[in-house]
Amino acid sequence: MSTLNVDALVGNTSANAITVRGEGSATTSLQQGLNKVWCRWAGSATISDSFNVDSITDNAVGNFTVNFSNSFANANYSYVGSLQNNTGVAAGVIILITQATDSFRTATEETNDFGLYDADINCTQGCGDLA
Amino acid sequence: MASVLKVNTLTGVTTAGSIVVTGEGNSTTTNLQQGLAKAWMNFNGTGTVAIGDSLNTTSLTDNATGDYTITIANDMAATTYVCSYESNPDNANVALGGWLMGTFCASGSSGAPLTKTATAIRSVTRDIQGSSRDAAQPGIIFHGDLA
Repeated sequence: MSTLNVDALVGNTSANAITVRGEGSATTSLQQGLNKVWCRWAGSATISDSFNVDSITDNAVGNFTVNFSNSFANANYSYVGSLQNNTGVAAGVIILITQATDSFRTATEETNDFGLYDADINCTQGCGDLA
Repeated sequence: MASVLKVNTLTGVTTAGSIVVTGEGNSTTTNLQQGLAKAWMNFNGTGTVAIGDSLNTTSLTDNATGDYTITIANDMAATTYVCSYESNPDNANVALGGWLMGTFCASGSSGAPLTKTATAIRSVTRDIQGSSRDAAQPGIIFHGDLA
């Protein structure tokens, strides 16, 4: 087995571009394939674990802003999310309200009446270009 | 002093498509290739649809209201890849609450997926009442094996 000990990877021709051989014969981009942000937080805006997240702002019930440590290059990054419901909430959904380069804002709604509520757990992640 | 490797391409030695990386806990390892998202897209799903930004996709097709096909550039190895979605209502329909986006099915949520292939996925966005709706700025992220 060949082991390389290294602290940082930088593209040689272009600092921001490293190609990775995929599972088959195709190649992909290391930088483009990395999740640039992810966060798991409780409805009280308490972060339990995260990557590249500076803070969570509790705007209102079921309404949060996730603030990044390092911003994206543009607001066209791809965002997905999921949640864990509270006891007594039959079903809910987490939606994206707005995207900015340094944050995104989400809402958690009950599916029966669209009422905002604080879910027990919120999980989000984003892929895109870092600034 | 940190060690910095300047390199253009990473390929596994024993297996070309498999490189092990030590995890944050300094003991467990993970797999570089398996941990990478293989495709993602952010797009405008209202009016004339348009890709905002993406990785490893070739096109976005607007089939009907809330019905989109995302075509992958370098195919996945199988149809067992994982696809995560997020959608949101446009301003005109925000009162209809959060919207759900999923793989296009033959008959509601219990139907067999019609068009999840190694090359493309067809998805539909519906409001909570089940009506198809154009989402304002959906996101989609693929994880799995490249062909």
